[in-house]
Amino acid sequence: MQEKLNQTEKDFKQDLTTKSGFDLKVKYLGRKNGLVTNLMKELATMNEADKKQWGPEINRLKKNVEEALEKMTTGEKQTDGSFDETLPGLELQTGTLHPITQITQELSNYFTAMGFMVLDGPEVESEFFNFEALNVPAWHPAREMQDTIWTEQPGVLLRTQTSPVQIRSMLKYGAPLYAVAPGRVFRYEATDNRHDHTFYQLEGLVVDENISVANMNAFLKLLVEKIVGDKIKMRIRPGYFPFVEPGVEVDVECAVCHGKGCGLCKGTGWVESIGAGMVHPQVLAYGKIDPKKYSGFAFGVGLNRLAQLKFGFEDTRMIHQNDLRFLKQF
Amino acid sequence: MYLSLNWLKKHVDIPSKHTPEQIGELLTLHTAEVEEIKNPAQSMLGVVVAQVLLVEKHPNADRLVVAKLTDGKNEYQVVCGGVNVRSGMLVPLAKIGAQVKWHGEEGLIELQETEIRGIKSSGMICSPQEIGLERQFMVGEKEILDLTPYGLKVGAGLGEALGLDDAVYEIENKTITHRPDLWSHSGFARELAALTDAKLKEASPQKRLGASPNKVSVGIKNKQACPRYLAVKIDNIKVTESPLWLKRAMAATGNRSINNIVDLTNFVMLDLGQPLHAFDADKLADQEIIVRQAKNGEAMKLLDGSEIKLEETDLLICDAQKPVALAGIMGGGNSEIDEKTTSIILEAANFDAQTIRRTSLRLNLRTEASMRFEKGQDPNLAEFGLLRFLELLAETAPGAQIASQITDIQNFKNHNLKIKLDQDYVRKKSGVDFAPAAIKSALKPLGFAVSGSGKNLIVTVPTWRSTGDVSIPDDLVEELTRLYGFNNIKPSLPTLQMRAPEQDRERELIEKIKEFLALGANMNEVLNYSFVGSEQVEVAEKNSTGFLKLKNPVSQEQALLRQNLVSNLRKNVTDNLRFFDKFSLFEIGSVYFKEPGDIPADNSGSAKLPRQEKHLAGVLVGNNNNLFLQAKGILESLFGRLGLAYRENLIAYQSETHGDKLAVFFEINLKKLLEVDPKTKVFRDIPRFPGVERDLAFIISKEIKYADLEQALASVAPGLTTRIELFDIFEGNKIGADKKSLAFHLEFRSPERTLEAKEADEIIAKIIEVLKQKFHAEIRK
Repeated sequence: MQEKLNQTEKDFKQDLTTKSGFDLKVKYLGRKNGLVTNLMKELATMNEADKKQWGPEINRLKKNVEEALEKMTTGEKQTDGSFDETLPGLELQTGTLHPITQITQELSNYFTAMGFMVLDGPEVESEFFNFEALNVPAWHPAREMQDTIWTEQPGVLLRTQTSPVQIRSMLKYGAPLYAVAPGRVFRYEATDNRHDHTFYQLEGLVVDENISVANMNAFLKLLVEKIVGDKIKMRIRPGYFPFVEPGVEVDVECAVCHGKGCGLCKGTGWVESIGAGMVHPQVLAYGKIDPKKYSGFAFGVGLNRLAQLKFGFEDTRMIHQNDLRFLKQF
Repeated sequence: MYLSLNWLKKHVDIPSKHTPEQIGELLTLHTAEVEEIKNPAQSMLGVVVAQVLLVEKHPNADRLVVAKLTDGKNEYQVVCGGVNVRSGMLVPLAKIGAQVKWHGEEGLIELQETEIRGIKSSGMICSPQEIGLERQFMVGEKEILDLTPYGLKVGAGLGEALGLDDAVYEIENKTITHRPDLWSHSGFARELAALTDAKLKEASPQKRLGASPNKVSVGIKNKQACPRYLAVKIDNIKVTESPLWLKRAMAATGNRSINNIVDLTNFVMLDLGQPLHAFDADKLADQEIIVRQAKNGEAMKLLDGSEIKLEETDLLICDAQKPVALAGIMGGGNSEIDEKTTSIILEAANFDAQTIRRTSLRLNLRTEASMRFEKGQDPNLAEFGLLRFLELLAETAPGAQIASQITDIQNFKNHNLKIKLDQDYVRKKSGVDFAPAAIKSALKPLGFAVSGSGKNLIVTVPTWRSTGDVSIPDDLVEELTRLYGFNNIKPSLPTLQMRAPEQDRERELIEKIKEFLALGANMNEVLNYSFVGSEQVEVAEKNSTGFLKLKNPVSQEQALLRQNLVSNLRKNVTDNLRFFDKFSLFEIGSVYFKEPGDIPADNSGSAKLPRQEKHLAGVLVGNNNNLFLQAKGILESLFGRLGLAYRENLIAYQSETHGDKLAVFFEINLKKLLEVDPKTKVFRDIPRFPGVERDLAFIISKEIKYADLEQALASVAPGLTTRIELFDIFEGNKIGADKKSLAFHLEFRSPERTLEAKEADEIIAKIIEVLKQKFHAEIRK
């Protein structure tokens, strides 16, 4: 037996320099007539005393052969563990989420953490939810502010704002209600680098007992801090939206010129960023919420502008061009 | 809308400590957004009033003259092409370094010292165009602006001399949509009086009585559409250029100066907010006014020359025979004032906001008058406006005589709107504890009268705010909070009640899918428009009538709402193949159908919106003929990741070639995906006994589906077959064109004992038997 073992080991060492890994595997570890396999088979037939004597020897040989073959096939080299840390890393291929998705998730997660629901609403919407229930009857001058894309079905349009989700969520959940609704909105508008007929908004709605302008201010401040950080100045001024009373607009100090006035802020030093206001009692009533018991505020923010600010691209049309040279950057 | 600070100051004594910029900021923070502040005199820097001393012919040019001028201190020699230059004249002289407009050039040009045909010229005598005043000062061709009639001081800067040294605020019209009272200088003056604690100088024009007892006959057929109509006849009118103050007012607010009568109607409108219209009395049949609805199909020609077709919802001003104006929007061409006009009938009316708005929108006619009427003007303002016109007429058309009594037809009542305001409600809504006295003193300057004691107040709304703008306590909360300043209200977070989170399975699903496809499957997310064009839609789809079409698409290529996502992904593939050989994209978005779905369209719930669902689609692009298997692998993993059993019938695969590249698309309806039963992950014992591996390769007909083979392989020893792994597919002439070779790793294992090699060999033998019998397989050795 000892002789057999010695011979096998000697042969293997010699073969290691001449034969391929595959041939070696067949010759020594082959299932039918591998030399080491045969030794293992022989071991199985031995009596207890022989097994004790030869078992460890045969197993050692098998282990050596396996390790040698493993090294050969994987091409592993012995190293001392040192490396050149300036070498470029091997690139890990990953895909990307669209910048709008990233902004949407970031804000949604922010509000979820505060206990808000994140809601969705239909993009093909009715005149009722998009305008009437938001206090914008057919003759109302505010309709002019939003050029609408209509479908061929009477009273069916592409929503011009995410605000119809306000009414839908009030009808579905009632008060108290803390919700945001991000989504796609549409306007009949010529496209240029600042405008697109399809864009994204995030609507927020809070309805509860004793909600005040002071509460709204606090939320607007949180939202601005989330968007541009707490070092940037903000201001709240009156604004007009028919579904709120009072209505406000939030300006943040222009990040490009820091308030001095430049092209981006049209010389004013401020950039409009959020529209908001206290939900109009009539709108609460449309949502079947008692305006005597509850009050609330709503806000809307344009996500295109946010994505552009966050990632620093000027042309809003890039969002829908789906150019991988753009998408792969984020 | 433009507001002149000089003009505002005629209505309110703004304390001098406020700079024009601070006044602009006050308006932005408390009333309406100021977009820009400009000083019109800035564009005339370096241009002075000069007197022509001497005019001589240019020795080397027939059409030029050499003028000598003085600005009171120095003399200037200027070569000029103006045909009306004569000595003694006062003219605008642009000195060297002044910025002027040059004919044919955009923007401003800095004037240089020059020599024209051998004669030195140190400046330029300007035409109105060259200093941006062509809309206010009309001159003949090749004429320069003759300033002689205006008695200006020689040597003064032109901007100052004309009174254009001013701050002009551009108000964002959007922010005063709800404020009919703010479409005028007097309206903003009232705001500034409140904001700067200054006194408002309320004008109260005297009623002027005409000498004649006659009245202009006015008949109103549609009382609802015309709450008030005042008319008065004025004789001895001489239509001339406007006096300087009126031209200045037009220049400051960006309006054209037309003549002394028309400019005055516009002035009153910009001053008080009341649109006026002057008809040439001699052009009105029977000098009579009838206000009526139009007849369907009736036509008229407006004073801008356009022909319009009318509908019965339109409101007309007519004489005894014909329409003479489109009420509240624009006058007719047939009754317009011209230089021969000697007698006018002045209209000061109030029209129903909806009526004006509907017509103005339909005809796409937005005028200064319609913009004001559609906001809901105060009918009381009409009389005020008419009297103001008569008061000022003496200045602009001396000798004019009021030739009738004032006709005043009133179809409205001042309802004296009162709102009950509870101090607690104000506090609850605003978060500021306004004392009753503070509420009173804040609202008073805006014309609200506050009475009542203690917490319960009664607020009487002024007529100019009660046409829809202010009607409920919340509207008063707005007044109080904006005057107080939103920035001054201390932020405080509300306390949130804790409650069970609402589970939104679709949203969770979408987030998981996006995360996995981007970060697990290395795909790039795209967002396409919701639209497709008919040529983009495949023939099969084109035959379907189910597309939801747009009435006013942004373009014909985007006239239909998409029913799948693949149509637009296809375009992304073409676009990106210009720069990439190999890539994969995915999108999650809505698709839309014509027929009703299950989302309610109103609060009754019976009407439904067109069906719309969210889809997931993706595409893999490259050379590899394994693309389909890669796509399927991604989706199998995705299903697993989502805890669902893979369901081939939910996925629409399609592949197509793009040049020499292959694209494999897939699309899934997420609604259907949500209906798939979850495949719960159940722990299986970690194998305690070793398994036996065998490899098996065989050749079969190409026609045979993998699924059938797999089933056959598994059926021989169902309890013991623990792995069936296809590791190679080979097709080629070597094995025959209609054949394929498949190679499998198989593993057999018993949960109860160590499986013997012999047993595995027996199973293999049986499998071979089955393969031969069922599929005529040829086993490879």
